[in-house]
Amino acid sequence: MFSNLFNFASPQAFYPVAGRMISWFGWSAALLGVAGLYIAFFVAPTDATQGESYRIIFIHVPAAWMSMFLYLVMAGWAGLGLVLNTRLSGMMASALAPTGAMFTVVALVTGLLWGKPTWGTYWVWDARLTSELFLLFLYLGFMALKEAIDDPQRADRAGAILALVGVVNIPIIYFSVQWWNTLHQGASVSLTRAPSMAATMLAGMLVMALAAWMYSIAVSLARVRAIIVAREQDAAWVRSGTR
Amino acid sequence: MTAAIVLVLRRDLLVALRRKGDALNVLIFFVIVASLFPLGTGAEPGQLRAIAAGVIWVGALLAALLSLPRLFAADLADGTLEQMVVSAQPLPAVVVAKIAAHWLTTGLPLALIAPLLGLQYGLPGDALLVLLGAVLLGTPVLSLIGAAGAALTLGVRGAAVLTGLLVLPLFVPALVFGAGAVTASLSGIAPGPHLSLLGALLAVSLPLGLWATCAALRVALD
Amino acid sequence: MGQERDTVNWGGVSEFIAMGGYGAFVWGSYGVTALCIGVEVWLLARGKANP
Repeated sequence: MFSNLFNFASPQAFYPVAGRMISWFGWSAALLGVAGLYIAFFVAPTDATQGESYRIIFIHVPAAWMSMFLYLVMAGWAGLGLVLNTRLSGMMASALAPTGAMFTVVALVTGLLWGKPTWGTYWVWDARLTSELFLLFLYLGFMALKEAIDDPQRADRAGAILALVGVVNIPIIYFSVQWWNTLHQGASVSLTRAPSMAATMLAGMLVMALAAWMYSIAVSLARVRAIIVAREQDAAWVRSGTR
Repeated sequence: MTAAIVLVLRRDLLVALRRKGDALNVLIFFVIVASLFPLGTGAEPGQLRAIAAGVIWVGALLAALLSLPRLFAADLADGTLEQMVVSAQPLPAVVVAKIAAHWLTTGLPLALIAPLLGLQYGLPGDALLVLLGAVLLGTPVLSLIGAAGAALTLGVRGAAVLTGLLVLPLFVPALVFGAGAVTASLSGIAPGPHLSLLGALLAVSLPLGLWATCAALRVALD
Repeated sequence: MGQERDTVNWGGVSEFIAMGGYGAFVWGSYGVTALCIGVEVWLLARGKANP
């Protein structure tokens, strides 16, 4: 079974498999997204304290979850690549970073737009928002490092080291920002903890999170295919067009 | 192994002594940055005291960042680094010695001069002591994490700015606990917990920074 | 039948768009998200490996 698994670790073997998986995950994402949006707007009731503005959390919270989860997955692939020295792992890590950064931006922007009607100001130095901002910096650093190194093998290994250092640091950064937050201000309104979360609200968030998950898989598979083609453009199997 | 550490440490300190300007410039930069802030914010004593810890710490982070290229770049250029990596000496020993030398020539002077800047900002005596302790505990973290960043960007185009992008977000916990210790002592809270957390951060950064720096050097010189 | 109610939540399309006065924030959030996803999918459809 393991020999089978390792067969797929070659970019050439993985390319067509990824192609078949993209549409599957893409359609799952679309269906779940529609279901989630339906729950978000037509099933979940109006929030007693925040009115309709709370409907932003149906994207804000899944995006924030996804942004953190994708960094973990990215570091996982990076570590795997460092240990097993498989080329595909580094490519997977590269493919995940832009999507992770995208979700971080979405979480930040929706956080701003949620903060204005709720707190009366766009940016609050809330522990969660601040941590999310630094998560974005970590993603940008990872992408910038990979971009700056020309040799793909070296870029993968250097990026992997950085991702692993980052993944150890994320909880520490999060804890330190929370520590700082309690020291400096009392504005501890949390974005995720609506006072009385109705079951339908939670269900909507979970369905949207699933949709974001499926979307991330589909998109990063598509990106890993693009990376494979770009890196192996001189290989016979790419040039002959048998892909 | 101890012999290797002592040898590299002595060599790096000697090199730093021959090029005093490098280490000195970092210190002057630190003093200038800290002296600029009152000109921007106004010199109202209460306000200065409130921002003192943050300004001095951010200045220390930037000064440490500026000193990072010195860590490996010159040794890469003249081939010394490659010799160190392929030599029979264990690489972690070499790296420990280089980071220690970097701290002795950057972090330690920054820590010693920080209370002087605190004086500029009107910090009281006990807060100055806490500041000294916090910077002494925090700068090794900067050297360790910074060394990993410097090693990752070794020989890469735009290395200086890129290093900042990589390591500054990772400096956040040191900044929070370090500046927090001083702020706490200013407002009459015991700074102990902050300093303990800073120590814990150092304990985590030591193996992490060493591993990352060694791994990054091996990748860079592969 | 007279006034037809769309759903439990909304009295009509205009009420749905108004979002209880928070329309700009709610639709702004969903719009930015849709834009981000749209750009990412578009770039990938053109075969771009990097954004």
